Amino acid sequence: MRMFGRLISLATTIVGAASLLGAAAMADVTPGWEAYQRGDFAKALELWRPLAESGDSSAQYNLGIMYDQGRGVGQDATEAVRWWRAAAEGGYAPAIHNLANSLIAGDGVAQDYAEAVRWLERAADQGFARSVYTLGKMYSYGLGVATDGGKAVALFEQAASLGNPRAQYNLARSYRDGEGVPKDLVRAAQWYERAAQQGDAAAQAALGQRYSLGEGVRQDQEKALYWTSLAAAQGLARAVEARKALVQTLEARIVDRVDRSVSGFRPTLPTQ
Amino acid sequence: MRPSQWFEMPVYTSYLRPSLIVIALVVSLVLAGQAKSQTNASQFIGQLGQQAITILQSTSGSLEQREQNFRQILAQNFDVAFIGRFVLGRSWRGATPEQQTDYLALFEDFLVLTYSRRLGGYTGERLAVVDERAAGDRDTVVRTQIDRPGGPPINADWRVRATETGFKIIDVEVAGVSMALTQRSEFASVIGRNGMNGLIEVLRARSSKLSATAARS
Repeated sequence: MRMFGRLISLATTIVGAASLLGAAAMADVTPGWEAYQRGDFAKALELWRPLAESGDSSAQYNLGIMYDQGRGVGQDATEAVRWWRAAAEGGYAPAIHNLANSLIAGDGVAQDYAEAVRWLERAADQGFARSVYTLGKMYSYGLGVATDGGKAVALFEQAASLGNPRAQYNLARSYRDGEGVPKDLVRAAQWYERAAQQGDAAAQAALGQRYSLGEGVRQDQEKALYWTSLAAAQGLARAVEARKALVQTLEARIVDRVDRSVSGFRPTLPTQ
Repeated sequence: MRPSQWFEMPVYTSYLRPSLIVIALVVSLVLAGQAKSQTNASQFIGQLGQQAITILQSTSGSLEQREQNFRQILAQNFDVAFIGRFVLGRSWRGATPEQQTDYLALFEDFLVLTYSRRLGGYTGERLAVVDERAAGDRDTVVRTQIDRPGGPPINADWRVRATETGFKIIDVEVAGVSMALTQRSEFASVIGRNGMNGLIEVLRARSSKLSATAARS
């Protein structure tokens, strides 16, 4: 019993120390983040650089962003890749993801699909949704790997379940068209809805169309207008056109009601 | 947004001093009542510039949110589908309908990211309309100068077309170089190496990159 009590107090000490360390690391990156948010990129760079040089992965990653986007420093894709690679080798998933994407685009490094796939697999192993989705696209198109539609859809399913809106949208489209999976209009509408709730404009437009046609959902022109309007408000040209057509067919008071609920829409936060 | 609110914004008033053109634009904006009722291409570009600067330099919300609002304005005022097809040239017709949809969705991200990084995001930036001239039967080219502290001014010429849904930007020449033509040759060489799917993946890769984080590693 006393042994057990000692174990508990030891565990408490370890947890306490770990959270203190965590707080210290947090405090390190935060001043730079605050400068970044103010748009004071020179200051953010000045604060992040020494941290990055001492091996802090998130500071290395942020420094890579500054070089990639040319913020507070001349744009330099090669430097971006250098910093992302440093953080990626430390296993930091966002850096792995960006490094893989530089390899795919050939930005700051020679294009290398096979190496990109190796990095994406590493981030996917950590359950990093965006990388799981990108890896699905690599299998779908056969870039750096042999084309494998089944594997691609399995990866989209995984990324969609992890909450990635682009994966949800693509999966919805696969179910709608029966590509790589059996055609299933109800499931298609459900995945469109999850992406639409997260604010994905293409998914909102597609969901509006589902309601307008009554495919996979009960036909409902008011809901059709609601989702189409949300997509149109984000500037999606085909939604702007579709909205005009819907407005013609609906009573003015319904259009007014929808306009009011549209302005109250708040996207659910993506998991990643 | 009511005009009176515009004048209360300190960042905005600091721009009133140096430029008569800007003052003229503000007056026309106030008279017009809202941003949608421009009568000519110069007003359209001038108002768009002010709107963009007001958004980027606002102190409320996160930087991501401000930039998202800025990109939304770009997306609404560029004829993305037209530019996207133009930039693809002959490859547009060779693409499958699915590729065309994927491409256009990603091209929108690419376009607004390219323009926002090229032209925006600098503290203290200011856009002034220089003049305009007709180009072909349907278009107007609006010449502007974008001043920013800590950097040389940028000369940007905006090619604007009157469409059914109002004025739309269809190209921008920065320092005399057409962005659409530059992108067209870049895309052609990517398609030559890796095909249409290769181009789509390059665009996806660029738009898929994550931005800076506050989180510790």
